[in-house]
Amino acid sequence: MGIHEITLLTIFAPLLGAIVTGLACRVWSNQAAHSMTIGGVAVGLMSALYLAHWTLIAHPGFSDNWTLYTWASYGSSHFDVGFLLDGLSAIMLVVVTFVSLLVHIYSIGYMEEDPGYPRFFAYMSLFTFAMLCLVLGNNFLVLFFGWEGVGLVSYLLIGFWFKKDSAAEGSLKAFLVNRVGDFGFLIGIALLLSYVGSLDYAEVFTKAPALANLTISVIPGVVWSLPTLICLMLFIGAMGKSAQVPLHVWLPESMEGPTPISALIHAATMVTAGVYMVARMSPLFELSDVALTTVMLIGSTGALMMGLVGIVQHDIKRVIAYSTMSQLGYMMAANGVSAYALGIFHLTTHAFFKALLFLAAGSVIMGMHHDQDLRHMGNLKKYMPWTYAVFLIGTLALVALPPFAGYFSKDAIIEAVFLSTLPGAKYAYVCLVLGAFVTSFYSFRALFLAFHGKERMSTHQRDSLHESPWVVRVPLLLLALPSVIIGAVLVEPMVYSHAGFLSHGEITVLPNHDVMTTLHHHFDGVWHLVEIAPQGPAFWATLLGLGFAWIAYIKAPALPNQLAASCKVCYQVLVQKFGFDWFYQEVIVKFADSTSQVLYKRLDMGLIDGGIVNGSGRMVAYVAGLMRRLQTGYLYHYALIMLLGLVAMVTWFMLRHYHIG
Amino acid sequence: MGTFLIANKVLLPEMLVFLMSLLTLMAGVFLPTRMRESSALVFAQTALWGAIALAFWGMLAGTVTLFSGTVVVDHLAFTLKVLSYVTASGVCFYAHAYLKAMKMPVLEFYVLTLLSVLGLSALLSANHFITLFVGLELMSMPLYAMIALRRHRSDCLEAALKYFVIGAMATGILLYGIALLYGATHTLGFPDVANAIPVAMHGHHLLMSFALVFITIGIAFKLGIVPCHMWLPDVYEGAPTIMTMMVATLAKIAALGMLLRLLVSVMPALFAEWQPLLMVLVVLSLFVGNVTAVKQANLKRLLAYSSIAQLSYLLLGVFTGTTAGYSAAMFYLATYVLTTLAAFALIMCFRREDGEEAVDIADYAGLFQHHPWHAVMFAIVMFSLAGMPPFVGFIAKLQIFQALLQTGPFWLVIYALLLTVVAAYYYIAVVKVMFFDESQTPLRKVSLGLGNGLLTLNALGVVMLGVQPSGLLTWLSL
Amino acid sequence: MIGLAHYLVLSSMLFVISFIGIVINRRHLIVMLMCVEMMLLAVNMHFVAVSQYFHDISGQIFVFFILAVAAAESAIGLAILVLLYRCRQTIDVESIDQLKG
Repeated sequence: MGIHEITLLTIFAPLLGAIVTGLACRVWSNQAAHSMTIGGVAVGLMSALYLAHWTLIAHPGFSDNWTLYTWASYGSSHFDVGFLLDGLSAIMLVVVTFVSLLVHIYSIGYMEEDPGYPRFFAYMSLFTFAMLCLVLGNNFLVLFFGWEGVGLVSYLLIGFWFKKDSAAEGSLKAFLVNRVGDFGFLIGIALLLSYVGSLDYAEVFTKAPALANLTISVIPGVVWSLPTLICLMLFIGAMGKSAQVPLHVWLPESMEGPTPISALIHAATMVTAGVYMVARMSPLFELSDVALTTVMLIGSTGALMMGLVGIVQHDIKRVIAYSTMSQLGYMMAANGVSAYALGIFHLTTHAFFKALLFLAAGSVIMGMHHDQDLRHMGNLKKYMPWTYAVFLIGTLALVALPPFAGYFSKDAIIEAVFLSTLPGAKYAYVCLVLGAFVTSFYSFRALFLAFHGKERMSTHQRDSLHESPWVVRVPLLLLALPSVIIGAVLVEPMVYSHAGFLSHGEITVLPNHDVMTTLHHHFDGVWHLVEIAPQGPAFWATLLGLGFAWIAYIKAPALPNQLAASCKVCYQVLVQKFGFDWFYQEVIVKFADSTSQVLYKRLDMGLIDGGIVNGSGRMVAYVAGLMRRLQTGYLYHYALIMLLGLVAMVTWFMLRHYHIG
Repeated sequence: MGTFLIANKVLLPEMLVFLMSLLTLMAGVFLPTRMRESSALVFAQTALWGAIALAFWGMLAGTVTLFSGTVVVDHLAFTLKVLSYVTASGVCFYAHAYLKAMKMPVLEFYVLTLLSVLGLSALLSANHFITLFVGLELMSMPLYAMIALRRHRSDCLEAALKYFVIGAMATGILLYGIALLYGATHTLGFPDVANAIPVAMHGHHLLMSFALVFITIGIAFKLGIVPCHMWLPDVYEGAPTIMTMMVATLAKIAALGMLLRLLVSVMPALFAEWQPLLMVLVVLSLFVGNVTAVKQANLKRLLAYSSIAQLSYLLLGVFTGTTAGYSAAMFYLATYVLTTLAAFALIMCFRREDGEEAVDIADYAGLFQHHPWHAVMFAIVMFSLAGMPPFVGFIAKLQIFQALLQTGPFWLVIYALLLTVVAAYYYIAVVKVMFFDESQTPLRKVSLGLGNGLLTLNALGVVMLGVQPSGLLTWLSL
Repeated sequence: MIGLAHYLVLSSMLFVISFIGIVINRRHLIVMLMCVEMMLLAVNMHFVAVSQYFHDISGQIFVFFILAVAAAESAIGLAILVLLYRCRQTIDVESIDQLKG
């Protein structure tokens, strides 16, 4: 088999699994359904690994751009179905198929008693297929097909438990917000088509520099540079898909879906499509400083803001959802400062540890009988040691403590932003460092609330608490391993090497944006990176967050009682006189808490969600109500509207005529 | 003599349709009762498919002008005629079982359909205002009558009356526009009028602008766009679904035919006038159609408002004033017709407990659990109407937007795309109800007879043409 | 001397009157049908006047077609009216508002 056949195998094996299972979902047993789909995705993973080995290691710099068939052609333009295999898509391929396979296996345990079991597996394989199309396409059409496809399946899967009202609402919202993003995305694609005359990446990128000096009048009187407009439009698409402020509102809602879906779609793969797209479009984005600055500012703002909101969430899945949005902000910020390789690197490490966190949370939720409230948990480490261990690993990777995976990618992003010369880079830098503190605070808060401290669950829940079965534990362990080591393993080839995975023209960086070269000078081996960790502010911000969380959620609730029991004087001194605990509890935590609450209730729920998203929806509905009332049912009103239209037009032409002539 | 033979050849489709309509009428008188209905279907299908074959044969002669230049058969007429025959044939297949179930007179339906198609043919081939007018009326009047075929239903009668009164008014306005144009150019043949307009521009510029406004309003009624859109939701809701299907397809083919014939061929000199006029109509219709649809509880009404919006995308293609735009509008029409046929056929498949047609969106709650294949077909149709890839509606919208981007203005592209977001809301809301809501009382599915197979083909066609649109695109290019 | 302009003004007045008649008439549907008929007659008058003035016969031929079609149209209109009356026992324009929204 040649590379083309293996590429096709990677893409279509999951589709085959999806179709067969989908058609047979009424007659097949659960076991047949999951064997079929897991088989499809496993074949996909095997061939993806082969392709990755071929592209990244055996033939570095290998690039294979080919057309499978021509969809439609007329005039000079033609639409093809074609694929592009290079370093960038190879990395994405492995990430997607690997996480997808593990989530498939995990779902055997998680969805065990669900009546829609075969359907669920079919949807997941279908999703994998669409995501692979998105990643492997060699033109905008295939990209858009995959883009819509993942959106559609995500919509189906969020609403999977359609008996839950909130699930149906959540899925609709996800779809609509994504449509807003797609609307920008489509304009971007349409602009490219009309100015470049092709949708092929290679052709667009070759011709892109010629666009640099073109301008377009957006509304009469306002003239914009064409690359800026195109990139901003494409970025609107990325904002919708990758849940960037202010189009992020759908992601928390999407947590109504089953947890494996949250892990696969809303953490590891689909939501990172925007990050991938911006990196893929680097030759375009490089042409516009305005667009890059926008990407950086929106990314870094989201990184901080979503983290702050995460602090006040009580639903364990929502905490992780907000942390996903925050991490996506980091990736976008990396793209914004032209450190695309870093964005993709963080995407890769994040895919592993975030999928791990979600699946571990799913394991907790199973143990808790589908109670997701952190306030009902506590001391679960006693009952679920395996889950605790992997959750801890995921948390350490997420907060970016060395040598866990997240450290290598996140720290480098913060440094790259520091080195950037774009306007507003300092603001972004501050946001990201503060974000590191916040990340650490909410992550450990969730960890402590769930696994440490007092047991707050009901007796009924406690009696039936149990560790999850092996079919759940194995995927967790398989994800925990890369969450520890993948950063150290990949950091050199992906980021710091001059002959690395992404340094053969997969991405384009103009010399005046290049921050990576400076970063390269600092690099002196992986262990050196770990050693210099304490030199950066992010490391200390993380430790500070950990300390605060520890005091607020472990020490403070327990300490007063212990002290009161053993030594009344110490208690008085510590608690009442010096009042550290009081200070922490009442001032710092309450302050942080109330700020986050304000952010969450006023800004996030109130203005963005309520005002912009729901508000525009309500406005449309209100106007629709008015329009309906115009439709009275009386013939003479209908005739009147015709008459008015006629008179208005005749008058208009009369005025025009006498005005001109 | 040679001319006469060619005349016969290119007009054979119309002759066949006319003869078969008479034959169907005779069948009602002379054939035994049990054979009447199925023979009527056979006659109608023979007429339509025979007409398609003859149209292809006739087209070998190239563009032909007949009867002292009052009739023309060119590529535009040919493609739209074939499209209308195929559409009518589909309607007849869908109708057969439905008519019996609804206790509607079967023979009359086929006769009137054939006559209406005959009128549509004449309209599409018109090269003279008299031919155009006669064709238009011959097409419309059977439609008025057919909507009233369920004689005891007051909502059907109300729909028929509304369609009739507004239709008659629109005809009057169109005629007045023609009369004004006649006053300025003193001639009624299309090529003569087209030649006379630039000359008459000097003295009668305003008069001609008025004529243009009146004629455009007349066509706007057939398209069902602002300001002549008010009748449309009422008629869609009240008419028997098979008639809604016909009004939503055949009448739109007529409208695009008239638009391309009158504005583009006859009045190209007035382009500077009709382009802003169409722009205003498009902007208003897009808004009215898409926004009002959001609050609809009745599926047929929702499709009515959605058709106002869909047809304004089509109008956008004509608005560009380029061949690419006209071709895009033709393709849009074909795909719209195909998708609409499937949409209404799907509605015809379902009845409530009490035997009434299931027309409320709420009736379809949980359809997927009981009739998964039909729910999937509904989803295909809705996604295609919403313009999602890989369905054909996406290609159609892509064509329109591509043509529009070439000419601008850019803000109109943004505006139109923004309203597709609103449109996605109500289409997807329907799919949501079918797939995710809990069903109260399961719907009763009725068979469409021969239409069952056709419906599946139709829905798959929406997908297949989306995947492989090249052939149709090329064929419909002007 | 009565010229072309007079005829054209008369025909446009007829047209406007018939249009307004449709809009302000709230009672009988019959009146509405009469207004529609009058609209066509206004058009006829325009055609005949122009045709006569410019010595072009096609306008007058058009008038014959319009008359024939108008007859058919009123036949259908009246038929629907009769059915509606049987169904609802009224033909008030204001009572026909079952379909709306």
